[in-house]
Amino acid sequence: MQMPEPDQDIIRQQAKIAADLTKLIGAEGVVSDQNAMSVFESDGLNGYRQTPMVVALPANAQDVAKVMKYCQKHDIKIVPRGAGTSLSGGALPLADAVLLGLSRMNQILEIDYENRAVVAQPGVTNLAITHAVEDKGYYYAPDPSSQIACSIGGNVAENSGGVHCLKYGLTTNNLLGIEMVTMDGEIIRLGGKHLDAEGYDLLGVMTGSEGLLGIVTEVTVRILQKPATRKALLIGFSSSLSAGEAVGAIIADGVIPAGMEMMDNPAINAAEDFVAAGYPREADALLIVELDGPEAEVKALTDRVAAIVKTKDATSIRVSETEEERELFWAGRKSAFPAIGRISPDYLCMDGTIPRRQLPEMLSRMSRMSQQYGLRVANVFHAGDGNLHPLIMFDSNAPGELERAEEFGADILRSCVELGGVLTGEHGVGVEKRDLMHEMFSEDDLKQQQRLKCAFDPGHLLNPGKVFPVLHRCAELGRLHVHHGQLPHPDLPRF
Amino acid sequence: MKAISTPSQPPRDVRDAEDLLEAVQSAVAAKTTIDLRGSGRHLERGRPVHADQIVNLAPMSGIVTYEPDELVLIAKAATPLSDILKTLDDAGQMLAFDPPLGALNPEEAKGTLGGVMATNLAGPRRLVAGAARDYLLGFQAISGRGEQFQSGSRVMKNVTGYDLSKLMVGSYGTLAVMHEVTIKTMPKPEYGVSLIVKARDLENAGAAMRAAFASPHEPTAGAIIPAQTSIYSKVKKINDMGQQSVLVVIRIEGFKVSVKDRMKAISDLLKPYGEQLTLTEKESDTLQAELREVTLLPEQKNRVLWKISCPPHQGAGLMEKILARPHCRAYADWAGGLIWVSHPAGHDGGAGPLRELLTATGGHATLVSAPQSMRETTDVFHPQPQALQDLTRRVKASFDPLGILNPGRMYEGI
Repeated sequence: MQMPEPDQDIIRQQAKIAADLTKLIGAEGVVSDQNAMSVFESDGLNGYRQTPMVVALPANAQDVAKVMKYCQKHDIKIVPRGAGTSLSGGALPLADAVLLGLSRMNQILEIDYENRAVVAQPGVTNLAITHAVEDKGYYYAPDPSSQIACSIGGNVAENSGGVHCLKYGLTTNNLLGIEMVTMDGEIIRLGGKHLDAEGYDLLGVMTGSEGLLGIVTEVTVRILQKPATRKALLIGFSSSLSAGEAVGAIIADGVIPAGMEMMDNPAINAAEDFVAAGYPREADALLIVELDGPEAEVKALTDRVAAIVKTKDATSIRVSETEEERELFWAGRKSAFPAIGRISPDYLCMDGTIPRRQLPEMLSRMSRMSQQYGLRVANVFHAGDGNLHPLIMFDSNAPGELERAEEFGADILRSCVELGGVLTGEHGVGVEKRDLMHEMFSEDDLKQQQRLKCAFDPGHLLNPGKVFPVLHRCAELGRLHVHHGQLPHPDLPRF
Repeated sequence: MKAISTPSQPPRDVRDAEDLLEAVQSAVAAKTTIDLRGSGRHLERGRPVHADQIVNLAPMSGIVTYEPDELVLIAKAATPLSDILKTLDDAGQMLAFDPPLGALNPEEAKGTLGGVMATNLAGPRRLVAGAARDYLLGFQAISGRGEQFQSGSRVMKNVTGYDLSKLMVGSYGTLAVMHEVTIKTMPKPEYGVSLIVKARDLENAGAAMRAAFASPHEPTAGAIIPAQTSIYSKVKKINDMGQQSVLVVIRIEGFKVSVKDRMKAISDLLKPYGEQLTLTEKESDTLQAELREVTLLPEQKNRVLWKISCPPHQGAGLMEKILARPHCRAYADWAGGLIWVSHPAGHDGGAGPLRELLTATGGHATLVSAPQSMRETTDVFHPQPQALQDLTRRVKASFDPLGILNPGRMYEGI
């Protein structure tokens, strides 16, 4: 993975930059010791590592603004970091950049039950928001699998999802407002406790912008009342085709389940070995359908879903009778990643999305690729919204296997795009999928996205080397009538 | 580029994306401005546009793909809303964000799908289901630079690149011209009814609303209608009951068995707040349509219409202050988070005082219906702080550096 060429002039000034930042935000907010900085050298995509030049840990928005102004003035790059759980390398440091960590800004500022909103600093974890309001029966809906550790600011940067997106939406649909600091150090508020920020929907654009447009310093999210009842159905199928058809039939019938997850046979068996959830080992595909809401509704819909899947050749159906049983049904799915970790020394977790009806085609392609690359693959799948998580198993100690696994992964994502889907459903582009962006977007599509970046950060100082495979200078992007197909600037960094 | 009051060039119809691309590129080359038109339904929204040429997008119409079981519909941007709704309805689906249709009856819906997206229209269900911005999955467009580009896709879980769909929705055609849009559709609820509570006063109404929405009984919409407003409803029960009191309307939708249970639960919960009655499905649908179309505040000469977005719990108190102003009429939707205000025109239609009220609560006020002369001189959209306005200008320039598309529709020069 090629990153922007580090600026040696900047690196040489490391000590001075650390001293300047200490003056600006205090010694407790600056880390420059090599050993102490090693904990920041990677995020959830831990195959990639780089020690940052300096780490700044501001305590509030004013401190963030001071750091941004300083870096803007001295042309120093910034890599923002929440809890460092990104699976796409969004917080991967650069050798010549200040790593701006938001972990000290970890307070819930306000719980407003009357407006059903929570105001939090960006370093608060996703789950802490639910914990803070659950005694009054509320929760925060988006539930990425890292929710115990990932920060709400990072959730905004990545537009994080989870297993309940189909019914409750992603971060972007549950976010009411933010306070952010721009690269020039201006503090801007977008939205609030009211709906629909007026003017251009910059709140929507900031969500999922992967730390390239600004630093989120405060987040306002809506909270919901916990559903009165939840039930899960565990449904086995003898083919993934039938399972896929069952998912379509449930939705076409007007039922939007809270969660609808699919696992293929290798994933079923790995999970069953790990937690003994009672999954049908012989099934080719397993569907977990969760229904939530008022008791009468859940009861009626459970019967309705059971009736639908019977017409689609379900081979086994179990309905959770108790809350413990519901949790057990989920336990296998939720431990799918560690379960695969037990049967393979290493694995890569991919994250493409496809139109749901393409699932059988996608699975048959994957099985062909698995043979071609000589690597096993297991699939867990947010079936309701078409988001695939193929887990490619490999051994990093075997020469060439990591590269083969990465090639396999890239081929899967290419297939997702070919079948009408996208490169990433919830993990983000980061560095991991950066060089595949041309599979999905034309040069003009990407240039328009980069022009938007220029409106926020004309010097490309915020998180450069992420998301975009070619860093065009803003002046070049702004010019009208660029001749297509030519490379007017052969000196541009192309990764 | 000089602003002129009448277009200097004859209007141009565009048939397809290629034609549109050519139209915008010609404007870029000649540095002339374009006034984008679909059906013309929203001409009175936003600031008046003075451009060199009207570009008529209406011929770019038709549904490209509709897959109900995938909850996705792709259509040319100027497809009439009535066609979209009919197609969805035939498959038991709907636009969940419940956009105002310019008509009480969906069959008479005015406007186009692109127009709904450009203005980010959403109705009573918005509170729970989200706005138009939450349902645009992807689009194809021509930027003000005269370049074709696309963003998003047809799948609902997608974080590949910036979410430009959000930016396009509600940008009033000032950034790029969408010619094809991909939206998420949703199943229609099987059944829907409303509970009406006759509250003592606005404060009591606000408390009832809060209790309903703090419950786990999943109300799908909530409105507060003061006495002077309910007289305009076509639902007789609302006229009769609303004469001297404030009505709280709680709408409950979903599967029939669920609606019945939730209705009973919410009814029990709200007993302390006042006398109750329930509307039949038909009455409930009529009232819901009236709330969506704002027919409870009929258009009248020398009156303007404001849309105020505020924190929902502050809605009742804010409305009390608004109604204390001379000749103001209002009602609240979105559980108090949306206040529609009919204000005497005066010199600025009440822009100053209404926006002043919002400084304490947060939120914004948009002038949605007013004579052209007032929209020329009064800020139609809520004024932005300087840093935000500067950023907005840079975002505009990143799509439309010459200011060709719908110049000045949102703010001076934007």
